[in-house]
Formats: sequence, C-alpha cells, structure tokens
Amino acid sequence: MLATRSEIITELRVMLAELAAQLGNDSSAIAETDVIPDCEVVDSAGLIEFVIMVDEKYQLGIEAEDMTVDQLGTIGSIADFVLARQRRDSVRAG
Amino acid sequence: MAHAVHAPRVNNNDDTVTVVRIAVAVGDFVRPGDLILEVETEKAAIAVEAEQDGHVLLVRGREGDTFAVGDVVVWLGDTPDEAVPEPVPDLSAPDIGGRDFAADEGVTGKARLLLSQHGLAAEVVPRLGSRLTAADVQAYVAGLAPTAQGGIAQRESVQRAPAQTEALPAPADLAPLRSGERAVLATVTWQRDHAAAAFLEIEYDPRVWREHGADFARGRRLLLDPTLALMAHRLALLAAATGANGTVLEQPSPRRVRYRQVNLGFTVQARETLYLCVVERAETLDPEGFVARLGELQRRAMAHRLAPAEARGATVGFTSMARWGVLRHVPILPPYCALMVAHGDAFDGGARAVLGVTYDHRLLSGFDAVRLLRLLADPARDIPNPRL
Repeated sequence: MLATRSEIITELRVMLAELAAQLGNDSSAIAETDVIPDCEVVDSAGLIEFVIMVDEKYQLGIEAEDMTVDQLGTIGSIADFVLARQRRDSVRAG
Repeated sequence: MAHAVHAPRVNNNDDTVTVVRIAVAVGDFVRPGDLILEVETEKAAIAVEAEQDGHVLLVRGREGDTFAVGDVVVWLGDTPDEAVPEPVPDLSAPDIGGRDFAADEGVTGKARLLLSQHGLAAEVVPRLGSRLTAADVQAYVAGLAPTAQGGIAQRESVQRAPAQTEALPAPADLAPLRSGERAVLATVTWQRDHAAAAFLEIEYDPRVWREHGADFARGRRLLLDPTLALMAHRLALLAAATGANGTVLEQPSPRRVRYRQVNLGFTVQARETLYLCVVERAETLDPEGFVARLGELQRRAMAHRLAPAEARGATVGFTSMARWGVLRHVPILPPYCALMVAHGDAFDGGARAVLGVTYDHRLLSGFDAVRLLRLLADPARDIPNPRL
C-alpha cells in the first residue's frame, strides 16, 4: 500500500533532521511550505544527499531537470512530487 | 553485499578456463551487460558480463591465469568500500614474489613486471588512470637518480614492502588500502616526489560571490546553491586564459606541458569517501552547462555511482571545506595538476573569507598564483585574453 501524504511528510522530516544534525543544525521548525535552501539547515551538499535519500527511498528516478525549487524546494512540494510519481508508476503498471 | 563473478564452464570437457582479458579494474562501476572477463579453453572462448550493478572490489589473478570452473575471479559490491568476503592476504609475509591478489588490484601485467624489476610497491607509484600502467611506473622511475652503473637508485623514501613492515614500531594488523585510500596515497605521493608544492592565500569579500550565486539560482529556479560551481567554472576559464593549466616533466629533459583542455576537478565528500569529480573541457562550457554537469557528477559521487572516467584526468582542482566551518586549509595537488584552489567558510559576519591555492612552483610563480586568486575572488572582473 502506498504511503499517504502525511506519512511521506513525516518520513521526509526524519531524513532532513538526520542530515541537518550532521551539520549541527536543527530542522524541526521548518514548515511544510518553507523553502529548504533558504532555511540554511543543510548546505548544497546536504541537499544533494537529501535528494538521493528521497530518490532511493521512494524509487523516483529523479533527473537533473527535476532539481528545481518548484519541484523539490519544500517538504510539501517533495511529498507532492513523490505522490505524483507513485501515481504515474501505478498507472503504468496497469 | 558482495557478489562473486565465477569462472564459467565453457564446454563439458574442460574443468579449467584461461582468462584472456580482464576488462575491469578495482574501483570500476559496472552495469548489467558490461564486459568483465573473456575466458577461453582450447575449444572455445566466451565473454563474462555483469549481471547486476556493482563496484569492482577485487580482481583475483591476472590475464593469462588459469582458473578452475566455479572459482571466484572478481568480486562486486554494492558500495566501493565493501569488504571482500574472503581472507585478506598477509602483507607482512616476506615473500613478495609470490601471488598476492591484493597487490594485483588495478595493476597491468607490464606495470607489475616493472615494479618487480625496480623493487617498488604498487602503492608508492602515482597512477594517471584507474589502473597502474607501465607508463606510470616508467614516469615514476624516470624521476629517480640514475646510478653510475646505469641502473636506477631508489630514493630513501621509496621502500620495498618488507622494509616498511620491519620499520613498524609495534606489532600491527595489516590490510590492503581501499580504492579511495589508494587514490589519496597516489596524490600525496605524487606531490611529495614530483611537484614543488607551494601555498598562499588571500582574503576577499565572499558576499559578492554569494549574491552572484543567489541571482543565478533565482533566475533559473535552481534547488542547489550554484556559487561553488560558478567559482569552479571561473577557475577553469582563468586556468585556460593564464596558462595555469599544465605541469612540468623533468625526464628525460625538463619540459613545460600545457594541456589543450581544462579538466576541472572538484572534491566531493560522500560520507567517508572523498571523490574528485572531473568536468572535462570545462572551459568550453557556459556557466549553465558547467553547473548542470557538475551537479550531475556530485549526485553520482554522493550515491557512489561515479564512473572511473568521471574521476580522473583533472588538470586543475577546486575544493571547499566551508560546510565543515573550516576557514582555511592546504590542499594536496592531484597528480600532474598545476594547482588546487581551497575555498573556506566565511567569517566576520560573513563579510570576509580566505581563498588559498596549492600550486606547483615549477610551473607557476607566487605572482601567478596571487593574480589568479584575485581574479577568481571577484566574478565581475574581466578574464584576461588567453595567453598565446
């Protein structure tokens, strides 16, 4: 069964918190609509790690053109991205 | 988890096969269908291809060796640093002429012969590519002093493997270096034995670059801060324009080498592994193209999926330790590189930062290095016309 949006957001928060903690930062105050790069809890390298973790966890096949603020810039937009990919994949699988 | 690639049965009557070609080296990443080995018997030959993704952890034996059908010839792993599930050879054993599979990793047959002739350990010879070749050994040996008898005298720092173990101050356990560790060893050994490494640094105002990067990202809706990538791109343009893109060969006669393209090496720390991603022909890319290409390489490196060709051949380098709060550091020169720029974290409320450079003094003067750093520190300054 596919995860709900709420479950995905919870999982994303855990992953982001882990990466932020490695840099000595706390990401718990980040809201669903906050732009993650602007929050300065992870740097560019940390963001790449975050994207890789999300990609591997949900098997998304993220491409270079997906690496935009609009697609992956907030916790909420990432959750929507994951759900959209899962819906697309389930339709393809028939 | 490690996966074994076995010597296959080629026909019913032969219980052994001969490896005629090994198409991979330790550290390579293979995908399903990639050629790993070619084996033959007297009657037939077949290719052995990868059945799954994997990093080459260990290659047992060499071309020309005979294996029993079912023997493990190659180990693949999900990560490049995975442990090989077989006993680690005892490197303290004095018989260096015997078969030592660990020492065979990524060393061509001709190179192995030369190493043996000169009494060298493979680890001390810098390699240009993923495998140690005869050319690498010859270049290394050429830097050593000829003796009156026409032979080659070793430097004091170059020790035979048994002597090194004898010099250890206490009982110790030994293990082969992992591929990433071997790459670091090759780098520091090249700098120690070949380059005339010097270092200097300047202070600059990092806010100019930060604003430049933010403008660039905003206009293109980029997720990742492109500032460091843009600095590295500018370094590539400056290296091409100022002649800081080459090396010096000392043997058989001193020669200045100027590369015809700039391959920009950019360090990526992926957990405990340090990669040097290489953007080839960086000077021919526009900023968008360079940022996209480097971003792609960074993602692959962080996922430990960098192809060997994407991590070799750097002619200049850029490294940053800003994410760790490091203000200044002295990088090591990659083999045959003219310089490596060091970027550090900002201080004084973000208004000041340091740019450093390790450079090969055989090729560049301190003046050259300072001039390059000053041009790098300000993205608004014009890049000089390429040196003729």
